[in-house]
Amino acid sequence: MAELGEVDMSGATNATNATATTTGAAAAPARRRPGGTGWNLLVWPALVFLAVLFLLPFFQTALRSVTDPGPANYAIFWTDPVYARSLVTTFLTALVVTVSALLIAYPYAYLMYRSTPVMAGVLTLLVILPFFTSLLVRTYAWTVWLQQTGVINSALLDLGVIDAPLPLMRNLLGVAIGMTHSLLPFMVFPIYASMRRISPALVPAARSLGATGAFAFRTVFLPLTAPGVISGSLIVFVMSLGYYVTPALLGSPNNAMLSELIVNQVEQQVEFGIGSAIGIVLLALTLVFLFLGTRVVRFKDIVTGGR
Amino acid sequence: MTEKTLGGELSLTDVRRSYGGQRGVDSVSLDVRSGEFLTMLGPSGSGKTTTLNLIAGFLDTDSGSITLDGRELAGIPAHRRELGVVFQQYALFPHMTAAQNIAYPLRVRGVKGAEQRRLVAEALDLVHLAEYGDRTPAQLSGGQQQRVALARAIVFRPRLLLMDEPLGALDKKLREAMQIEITRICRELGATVIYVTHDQEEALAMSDRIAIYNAGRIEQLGTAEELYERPASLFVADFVGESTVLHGTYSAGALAFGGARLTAAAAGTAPADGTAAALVLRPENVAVYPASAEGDVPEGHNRVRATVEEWIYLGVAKKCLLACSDGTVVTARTATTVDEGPLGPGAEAVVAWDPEKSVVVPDHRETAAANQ
Amino acid sequence: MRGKPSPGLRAYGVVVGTLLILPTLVVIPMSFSASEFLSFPPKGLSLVWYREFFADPVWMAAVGQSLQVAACTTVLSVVLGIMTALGLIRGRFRGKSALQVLVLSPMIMPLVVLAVGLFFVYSDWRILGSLGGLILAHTVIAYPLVYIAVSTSLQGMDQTLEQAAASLGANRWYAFRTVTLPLIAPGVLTGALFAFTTSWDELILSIFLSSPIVKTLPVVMWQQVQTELSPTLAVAATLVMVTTIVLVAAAAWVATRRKVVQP
Repeated sequence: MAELGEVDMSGATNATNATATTTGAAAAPARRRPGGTGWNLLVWPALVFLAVLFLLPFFQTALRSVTDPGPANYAIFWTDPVYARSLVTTFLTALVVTVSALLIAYPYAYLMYRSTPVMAGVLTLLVILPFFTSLLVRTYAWTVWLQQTGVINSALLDLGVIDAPLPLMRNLLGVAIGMTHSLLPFMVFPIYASMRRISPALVPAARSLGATGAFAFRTVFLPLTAPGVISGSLIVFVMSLGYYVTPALLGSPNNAMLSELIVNQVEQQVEFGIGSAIGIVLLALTLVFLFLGTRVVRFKDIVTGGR
Repeated sequence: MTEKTLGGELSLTDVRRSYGGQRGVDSVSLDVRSGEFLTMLGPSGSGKTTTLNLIAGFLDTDSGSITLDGRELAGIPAHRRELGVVFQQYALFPHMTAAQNIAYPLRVRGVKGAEQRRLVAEALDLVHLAEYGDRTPAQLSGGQQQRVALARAIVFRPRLLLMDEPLGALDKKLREAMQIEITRICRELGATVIYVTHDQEEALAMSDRIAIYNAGRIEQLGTAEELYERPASLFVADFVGESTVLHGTYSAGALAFGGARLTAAAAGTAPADGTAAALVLRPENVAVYPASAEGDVPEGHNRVRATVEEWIYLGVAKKCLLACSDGTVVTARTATTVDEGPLGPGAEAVVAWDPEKSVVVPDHRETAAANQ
Repeated sequence: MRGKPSPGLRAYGVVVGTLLILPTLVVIPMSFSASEFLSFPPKGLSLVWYREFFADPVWMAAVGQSLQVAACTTVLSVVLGIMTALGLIRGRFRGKSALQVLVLSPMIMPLVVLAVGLFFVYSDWRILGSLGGLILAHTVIAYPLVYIAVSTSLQGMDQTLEQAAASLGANRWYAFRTVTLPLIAPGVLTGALFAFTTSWDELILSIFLSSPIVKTLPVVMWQQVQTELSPTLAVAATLVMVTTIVLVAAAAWVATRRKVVQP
């Protein structure tokens, strides 16, 4: 793991760098590195694959954004309030989702940590199952519950608790519910992983030194789980920024997220240049937050939840 | 057992391999005779395992040559070197039974069917595990796993057997039994063995010759007796067996220590006149006399005045610790029957020994300390 | 020692656990509805919409294409993932950590932007709306999962086993087949499962890269969600979900069995 520890986002922004250095290593005298050279060759297919199907598309998008018809594509963020507002909506949605996921996930992870192995397994399964079920199916299921004629509103109306249906979707609330639900595993696992690294003797040790339960939790347990909280929050926030399906089905059409505007521009308006420009802004936002994140946590831990 | 023998001849000439500063090998030369059991002994990081990995082909040399039966090994990948290797943690394939593990090198070489079964059974017999062929490594004890690893390493009749701390993971009792077992099997097969260990007792008990490693170099190469009786350096004296070291200045064939002039045999090159030197004494060669009985010391023996500090009972012997006037502690080992009476703690005493039973070596205390 | 979690905490766990699972399961009873409209609770039970689903050539074509794409994506991801994991873990070269960041990046980059970019690239190459194009696109986001699972297995494996195989005469390929691969098989299986479900559920890339003729099950569902809300949608959703759950359960079962055989 030592080598993974050095993973640094600074490399991601410059992948051609990786290409160049790999060539350099392959040219190094084979005598010095038995085995190494042979294994090195195995990364080439992936490198070529990602260059063509991952980096090239982003490059093409960037190119389109400034050539189709020109850099003026970006002006849309100044000229049309919809786009500026969308930036705020995107950011706000991501923030709300991150905070609510954190508030739900922390006690849940703590429960997993305190449970017997079997119970922890069941709790893990409960979090992982939605992760495995189609996002579309899950989001669609939420509409069944949340819409005007949905299960919740019908039940409340029948019980006479409310007189008119509550607006549970087509707004930030709906998006927050749907996205928190589907991003929760990404928050639970890093936090749980950081808790598992804490020696079970630490809190009792603090208590034996005279700390109350709450004090020991706050001064010993909580700080030690900070890395998990940070990487969980980072991945949830960053993934939220680019979410499409959930906001498209549960969100308000008047308060669209950036991803929705991109799809709209490319699929409906056939404005490839503007769509690309919004895309590049979204990509840049993602990279900025990821980069800031890697000042604190390792990139691999953000992506894999510290697995 | 079979026609092809394991008695290859190995030769290392000026082998070097840097390894980012530590754990490297710096100019190692060594000739191993057919059928010889040679141990590489040294502290961890001294380069012995690196040497083994260079011979096995897991690492490549920077320079120098390694030949097996006169054939240069550089450039030959590990899998074509025909060397049997026994690893520290056994490295048995966990998804195969003991028999399948042993059959593996035969499978690689296309030995199939009855012939394969015969060779595997023979190998299992040799290590006394005839009944255990169907077990997986997880179902075997540490000692049994070690035997399987050994059987696997010899079943294809390699020219040479390399063993990297093979007994390191076993407890003391089992380790001693396995030492005898391994020596027996290797003798029986006439195998040339390169054995790596950091346990000096193991090295002394098993080896024909021992190479003492220090900081990437072979400090001394010799039989157990030579290393013990005639250490060529302070490092070897210190590393092999227990010793008392008296530091002084060498001149005119004797060491000036305190007020005394001590003579001794020299193992390698005698220290130059006027340089720092050290006299190495084995505790069992030191005799202790009450100061009043100094006259009993045989003529020609070295003698040093000291004060008795304490006696330690060891079961098979007793140990007496004495302090010289400069603070140097001398250890003497005596029979348990020796009367402590006149030599209680605080008593003035004379320690004496036969000069022939001690060695004087150049004193490289500073460099030795830097290498630790 | 850890004490038992408090009753409040346990109750909390039950609530969150229920909220994680239950809302999604609502599509199952809906798929057995007898009514013509999507409703919950369903009015009457029947299999009529399942009959409808399996008789509809659009749904059936989508199922077939989804299976093909997911299967090919899995194979491609596994091959590429194993190679990359071996190269990155066993190899020694500068720029290794940068390359690792690159390999993991597709998991976290906004998919919509990748989809738009691939849309442009595929247009240039004239492979828009082809099965091959979908497979390649799905592999971009599926294979990092294989890479993670396999590299975790590889790191847990004692590397001296490969040295042992070499010392016994096995060349690298033979050693890989007979020693490394069997030992990392659980990781490969997990990775393959992740890859399959990723492709099977993938929507955003597929929306951009499919055509009226070539479209996967999620794409057809997506189009239905936005237009007509017929209960066949619930049938599709149920089948998509059940397929995944069956696969996950099968993999978990295989994993536990392996553990029993090899302690």
